[in-house]
Amino acid sequence: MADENQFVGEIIEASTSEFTAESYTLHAPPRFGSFVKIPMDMGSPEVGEERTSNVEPLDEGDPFAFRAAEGSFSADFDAVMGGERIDRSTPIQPAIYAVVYSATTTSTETGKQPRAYWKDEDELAREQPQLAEWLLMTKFQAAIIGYAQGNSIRQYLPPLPPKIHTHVFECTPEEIVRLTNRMDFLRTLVGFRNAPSDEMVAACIREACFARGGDREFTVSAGKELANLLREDYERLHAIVRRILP
Amino acid sequence: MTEGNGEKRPFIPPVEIGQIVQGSLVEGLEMKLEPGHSVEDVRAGKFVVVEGEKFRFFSMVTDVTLSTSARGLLDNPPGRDDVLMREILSGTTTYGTVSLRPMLMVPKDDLDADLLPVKTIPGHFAPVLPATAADVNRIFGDEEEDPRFFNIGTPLDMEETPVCINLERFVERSNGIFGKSGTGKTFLTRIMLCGVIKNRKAVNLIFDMHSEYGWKGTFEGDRAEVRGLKQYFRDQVAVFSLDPESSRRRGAPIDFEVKIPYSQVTVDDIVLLQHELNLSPTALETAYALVGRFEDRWLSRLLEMDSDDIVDFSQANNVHQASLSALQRKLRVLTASCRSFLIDDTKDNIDIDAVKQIMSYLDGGKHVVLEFGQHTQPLRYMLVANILTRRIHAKYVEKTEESLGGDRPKPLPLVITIEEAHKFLSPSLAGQTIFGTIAREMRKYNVTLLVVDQRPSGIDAEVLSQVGTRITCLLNDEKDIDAVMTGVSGAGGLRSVLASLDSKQQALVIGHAVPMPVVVKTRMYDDEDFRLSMGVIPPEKLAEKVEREIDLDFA
Repeated sequence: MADENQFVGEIIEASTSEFTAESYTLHAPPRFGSFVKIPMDMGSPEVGEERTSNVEPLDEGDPFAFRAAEGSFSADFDAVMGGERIDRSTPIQPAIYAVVYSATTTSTETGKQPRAYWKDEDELAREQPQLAEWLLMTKFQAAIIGYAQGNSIRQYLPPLPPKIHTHVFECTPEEIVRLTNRMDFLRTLVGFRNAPSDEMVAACIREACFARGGDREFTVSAGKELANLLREDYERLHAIVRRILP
Repeated sequence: MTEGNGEKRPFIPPVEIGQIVQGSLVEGLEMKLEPGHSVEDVRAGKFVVVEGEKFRFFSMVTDVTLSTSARGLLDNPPGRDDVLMREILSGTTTYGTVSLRPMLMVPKDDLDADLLPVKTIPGHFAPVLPATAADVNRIFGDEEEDPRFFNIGTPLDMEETPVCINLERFVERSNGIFGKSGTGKTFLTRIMLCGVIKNRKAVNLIFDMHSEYGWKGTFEGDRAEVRGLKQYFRDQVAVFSLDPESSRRRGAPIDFEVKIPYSQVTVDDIVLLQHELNLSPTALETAYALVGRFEDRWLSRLLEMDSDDIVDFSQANNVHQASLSALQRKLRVLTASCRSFLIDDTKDNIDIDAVKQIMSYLDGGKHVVLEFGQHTQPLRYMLVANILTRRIHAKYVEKTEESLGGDRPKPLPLVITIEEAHKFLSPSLAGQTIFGTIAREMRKYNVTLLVVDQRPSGIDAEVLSQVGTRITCLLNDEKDIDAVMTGVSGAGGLRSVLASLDSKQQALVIGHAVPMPVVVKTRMYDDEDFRLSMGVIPPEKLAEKVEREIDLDFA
């Protein structure tokens, strides 16, 4: 994984449920199904969330919000799931989380179609450096699955879309473990219409599993969550589960 | 609970095995099994507790079902090596559903209150927990705290917790021990008899068809024989024998040899044998005519008649001659086969009356085992049992009436144990034999039956409905299961429990002496623990055993 302070893209189009970002490096966007974050503070508290800042910002009006504080269920869960490396003294950085579902490389100029040069890759890079610099770009799209606010992670859509021109970072394994301690985001992904959803769900579970060092138990519990979501569509469940297997 | 180092052991709450998802008072409850639990761990007859909002419901598992929430799955099940898929589906899309029958309930705010019959059901998603030892003691009583209770075994999956039967209630009604051959009826009967004898709740009269209760019994297994009641309760049990020769050969000491005079045989006894002797109704009428003429000497007179006497008697008394000679022929066969104990008292004198002797033992609070030795044919067994019981019954009626008059104390309750009971209590005979009468009404006179039988469907339904406590080992025949379930409420679920019992050492106990039906793994008869609890192992041996156990604990 890249340096965690190094951004991998910059947002060029955003909506409540997804965004498009230009990749920092041509041909090297974040992997399909990987978790990315856009650091962003949602600003004023949500309705029912008014509290002073030194109080633990657990949202009582929201039973699904959880905090990764010492002694809480999720903290125990973190420990069980291999998240013990997390330094709990650092609060969770406010951010929007998303899963990459698509990447494309096109000409930077609208309507212009790149032509073939019939050269090998190194030759081309030497002779035509402007291609990578100016004429071509890689874009990736990601589906928003939740956000962090205060010290809790919420697995539902944020109140505001990400801002244009903000930077996109890859999530660290610790963040992924913390983010996937609950599986509510799977429903968002399973119901996501603009993407090859089965492939995206499978890839994202593989990523989370990888971040946990290949924890099989996690794969099974994610599969069980899927089984609950897809109880009416066994064929689809079967297709996804076959794609989860390494 | 504290351990040696004084540290408190953490409280481990019992693991929830599922939650209630459906149900009705009539049909019972349906529980969805928790994903972590294997369906194979839930067995019919298991004892569980449903934690309702206001009540705890003590329930029994009656059925286990495989369910799925995805229809497509059944058409296209995951492959044999698709382990991940199987693991994922287990507990989510595929899960176990368990049918429960609530039997008793108790308010949660007052757990020591009386147990109530179930009149409502718990709400949705009420958690279901396995029953604990405290639950079992709460319901079935504790042998150590109250001598009325007697340990008969343990619930399924709970090896350490005894299920007790209330002996006082047990002897109040007639009882049945049923089960097909080889399921341990005789062992259970011995255990129950030991309980009754030890706790002095009643006196027993046992018609021991196969000579298994008195001195020693046979054992299907590695041990050839087990101790009989006499070896357990030497001073309290008397063994009578119809066949002293057989007893001698078996090395079994007997207290009394039973002889029955012809004068004690009545037509009622012959009625009981009408199927065995193939007698027509006319033959019985003829027998009544003989009694009318010769009174209690009718049998010896009939057997003596030659052909002229028969002609004379039939003409004089307006009976059918052929019928009379048929009756004579058949009773000659009967008396010949029983000649070792059936004595013509017009010729030979019998000094001691067996019935009087038995009564004197019973009056003295002693228990009587009547061994039949070689006389195991049903015909002889029925004849003797009927003759003796009829007279003992008459005496008991007399005594009870005297006690009602206020002159004497009530006689000790008498429990008469009969085997092959369907032969005495078949629908055609139950109305006529003394056993039918006892089963129906003798509770009033302190006499009850302990019916041991492998064919309960052969027993008259009216008699069966009067049976207070039914201890039932495995039965396969639908008719027999129906018969045992006669008069049991909520029998539907229990039928499947009954049909799924193990073929040995398991029994379903229903009725008067237990607050709710329960499946027990019956305790071992005649092992060291049993002998200890019966008090037949001397105290020094007890000390040895305790020492040995302590050694084991510290080993």
